[in-house]
Amino acid sequence: MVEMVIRLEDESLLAPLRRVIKSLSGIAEVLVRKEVKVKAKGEVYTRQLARINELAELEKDWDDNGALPIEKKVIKNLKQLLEKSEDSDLREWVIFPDINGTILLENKSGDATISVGNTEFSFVSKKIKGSNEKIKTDSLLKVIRKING
Amino acid sequence: MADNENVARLLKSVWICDGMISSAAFNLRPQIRETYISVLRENTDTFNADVKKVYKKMPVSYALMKTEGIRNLKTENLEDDIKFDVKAVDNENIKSHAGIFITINGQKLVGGEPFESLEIKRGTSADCVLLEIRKTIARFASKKILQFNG
Repeated sequence: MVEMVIRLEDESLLAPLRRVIKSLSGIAEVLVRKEVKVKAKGEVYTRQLARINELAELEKDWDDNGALPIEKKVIKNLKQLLEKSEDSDLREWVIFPDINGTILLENKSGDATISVGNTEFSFVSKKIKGSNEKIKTDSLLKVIRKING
Repeated sequence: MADNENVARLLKSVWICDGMISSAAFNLRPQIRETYISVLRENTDTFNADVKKVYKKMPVSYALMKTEGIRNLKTENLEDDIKFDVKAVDNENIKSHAGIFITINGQKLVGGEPFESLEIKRGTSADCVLLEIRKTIARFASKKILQFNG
């Protein structure tokens, strides 16, 4: 028995190549091994993800004064931000629920606050002029990195 | 109310994290068109009883703030004239009740009221004004967080 390894750069070749090889006589088995690149996530990712999941569980009236549960889309926006961010991006930020179903990101030095909603985010900061922007993970991350300096 | 009086803002535990209080703890509730942020006057006979009336579950954390400090708060990133004041609020059940009142360029801030009615400086986002106001109070409040055990 001899084994041959073929490394493919283009995954779309896999199916036709497999058919061709299998059609040959003397082929006992075609095995496929796929490499998956896993981005290593650190302590900040784990901590912030736990916090987001905790806030996602808040039920209506969680402040005993009529607060709304956090919107699912807001949670999704936050998770997308977390997936794209490095540990250093969100290390100095704390995530809080707001009564209208949105989320506040506040930095520990106390000079910046970002409100994340369904379709927009707004922010104030000492370092850059505050504004409202449409939610895009890249633009939100860019603002955070600018504030972080 | 005298400048040297202390007022307490009772806090949900979810609003305190890593020694800081969230700006979310200083919202004017839109559903009741709230005109002030509720606080309790610490130097009153009914303070302890009033805390228990407001919060059934103990212990509860609260931010203790000097009235003078609130009145002197300055928003950092705005050109608008933002003023803070603390006044007693009549309440038969909660005698120590008081409120933090906010004006923007002389107009009273009311929860849920359309911002179009406020004359904020051109080029400033209304959302950003609100965020800055809440952040300013939250940072001041974070200086002294205490616990009431009942």
